[in-house]
Amino acid sequence: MNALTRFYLERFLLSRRRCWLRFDTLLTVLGVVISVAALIVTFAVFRGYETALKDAILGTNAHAYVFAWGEDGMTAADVDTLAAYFEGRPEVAVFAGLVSTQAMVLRGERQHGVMLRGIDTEAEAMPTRYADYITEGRGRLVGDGEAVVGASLAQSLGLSVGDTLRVVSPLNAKPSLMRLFRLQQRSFRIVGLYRSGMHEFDSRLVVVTPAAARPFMAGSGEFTWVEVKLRADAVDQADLLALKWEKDLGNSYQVHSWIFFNRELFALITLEKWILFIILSFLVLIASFNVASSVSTTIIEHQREIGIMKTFGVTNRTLHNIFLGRTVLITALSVLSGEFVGWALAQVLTRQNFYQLKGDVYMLERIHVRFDVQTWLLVFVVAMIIVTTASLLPLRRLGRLQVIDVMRNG
Amino acid sequence: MPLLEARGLAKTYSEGGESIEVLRGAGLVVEAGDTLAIRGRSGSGKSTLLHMLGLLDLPDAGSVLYDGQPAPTNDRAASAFRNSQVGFVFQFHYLLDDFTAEENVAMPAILRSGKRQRSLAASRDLLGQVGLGDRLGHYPSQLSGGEQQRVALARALVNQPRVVLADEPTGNLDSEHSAEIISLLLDMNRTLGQTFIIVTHDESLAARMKRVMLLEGGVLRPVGD
Ligand SMILES: Nc1ncnc2c1ncn2[C@@H]1O[C@H](COP(=O)(O)OP(=O)(O)OP(=O)(O)O)[C@@H](O)[C@H]1O
Ligand SMILES: [Mg+2]
Repeated sequence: MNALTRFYLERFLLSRRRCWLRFDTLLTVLGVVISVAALIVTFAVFRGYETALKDAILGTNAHAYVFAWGEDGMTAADVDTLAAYFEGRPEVAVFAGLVSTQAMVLRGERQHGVMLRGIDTEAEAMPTRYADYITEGRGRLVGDGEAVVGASLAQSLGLSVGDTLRVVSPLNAKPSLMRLFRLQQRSFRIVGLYRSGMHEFDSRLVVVTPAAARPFMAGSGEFTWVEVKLRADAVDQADLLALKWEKDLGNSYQVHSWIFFNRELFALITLEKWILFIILSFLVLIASFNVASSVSTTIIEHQREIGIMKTFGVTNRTLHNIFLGRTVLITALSVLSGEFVGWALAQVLTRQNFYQLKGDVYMLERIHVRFDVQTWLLVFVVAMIIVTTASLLPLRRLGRLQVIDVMRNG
Repeated sequence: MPLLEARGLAKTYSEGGESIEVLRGAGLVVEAGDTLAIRGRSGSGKSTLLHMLGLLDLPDAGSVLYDGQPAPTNDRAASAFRNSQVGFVFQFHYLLDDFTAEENVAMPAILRSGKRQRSLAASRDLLGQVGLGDRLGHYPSQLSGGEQQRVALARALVNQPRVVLADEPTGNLDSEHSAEIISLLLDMNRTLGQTFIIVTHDESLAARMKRVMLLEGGVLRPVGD
């Protein structure tokens, strides 16, 4: 770019006239602005969903689960063995044995299948963010007669803190001989509500103490599995660690990570994100035709100007650069405004209450958005390349223009 | 050695099967410091000839020589040559509408030297000389026809070209303004020794040039003396 090109473009952009702010220019780039905005919104929503979902999954679940072989669950001895193993491991933050089983809750005519969990809520640290999700009452269970209930579950049962909840073993559960004589029905007093944003938990979770949950277990074990929380820097290696632990423990236990359980889900989200990105890039392509045709018009309109510049020695190459520069500047401005509009729209999306996601389909109810520099850059670069490439063809006109015919007679 | 020489310039335009032979072997020799008026009927090819002398157009046959050397024909070299050696002035004071008078005049200088501030200073200086020192920041649409033409003249002169080619520079001006432009041109010729080749219908302008030539039947011939 030579000094004249720089001078021209700087004046073009900054002069008092602001010729690029004219109505027809704005109309031309509207398509670019809208399609870029659509790209940004889509990307932000997908990224937001992805991160919020990961956040919720990692908050409501532990990072790794250790199971014993067979259906009876874990004995206290199993848990001791695992404790001895995990105690010294630097990547492990917290671990705990837990009871998890299916049960039913009754309320008048209504009955609900629930996820009954026996958790040690008095522990110093827990493998999940349980405590963060208590929105009402308290999360700590003092006696075996207390329960914390998912907020949506409580709402659909019409129960709140202080009410009594009746839990029974599901009718189709096969009671073992041992359990046949044990208690299969029990009432709990609700002391807290749990809301994580994960539909599955909020609508199905009932937390009691491990001792209170044990009678509802199918097997003869003390715990269903052992949950492990990893240190933050090890979370993304959970699947590798799971394999390693399995081997270290002599294959006496099965270890599965959160990645193992959610791999397909995240792969699907990523795939959808990129498919939408490609589809929406076609919108940018279509919008770029408009810009390209306006480049043609601009050149015709500026024939006289081009002629003048040629007479004082501007080469075809410099003319090409000048008009390419005009296009690139206008395109850059419109892509940036499109990104801004997209950002604003995404803000509106997260703040509105008219439209919520279906929790049972999307697992989350709120729409989350997330922006990162990579997205801005990616959209900017892709849009710039598409629009600039589309305008290169009409720019070739410049070389063929018979300017002297224009200069001849005004 | 003459500054500029044209030999046997020929140009034929054909359109829709009909062809017009505009130039058929026109030639001229111009010494440095000369002032030459070219006259001729409308449509006789004066503008065509001027464009060839300024390397804006190529002849079908014949050649243009500067300092005895054939003028460059490729876009890059011809453009550089126009930028540094030739100044153009047209009947329709062509200025860039989106640039101020000061910026318009500075452009050829910026292109040549790459130095913006120095070029703008030269532009202000020159606009002062043509009496527009107080209109530097005005856009062409804010200037009268005569003022625009003076800006165009300043632009043609900003790189101190050796030859100025003017195509009816006073054609669109009233007699008072055209007298002004003519005196400016002659002043330049006297003080800087610049060469002027001016296509004109204007008798009074032609009369003040050192030489007058007539373009007729596609060839140039001297008038008067
Ligand atoms: N691109 C072209 N195609 C066809 N004919 C052309 C073209 N350019 C010029 N002509 C013709 O060539 C002839 C000479 O044109 P030119 O502009 O050189 O004349 P001129 O002497 O400058 O006339 P005027 O005094 O009216 O400006 C005219 O008849 C014009 O119609
Ligand atoms: Mg003419």
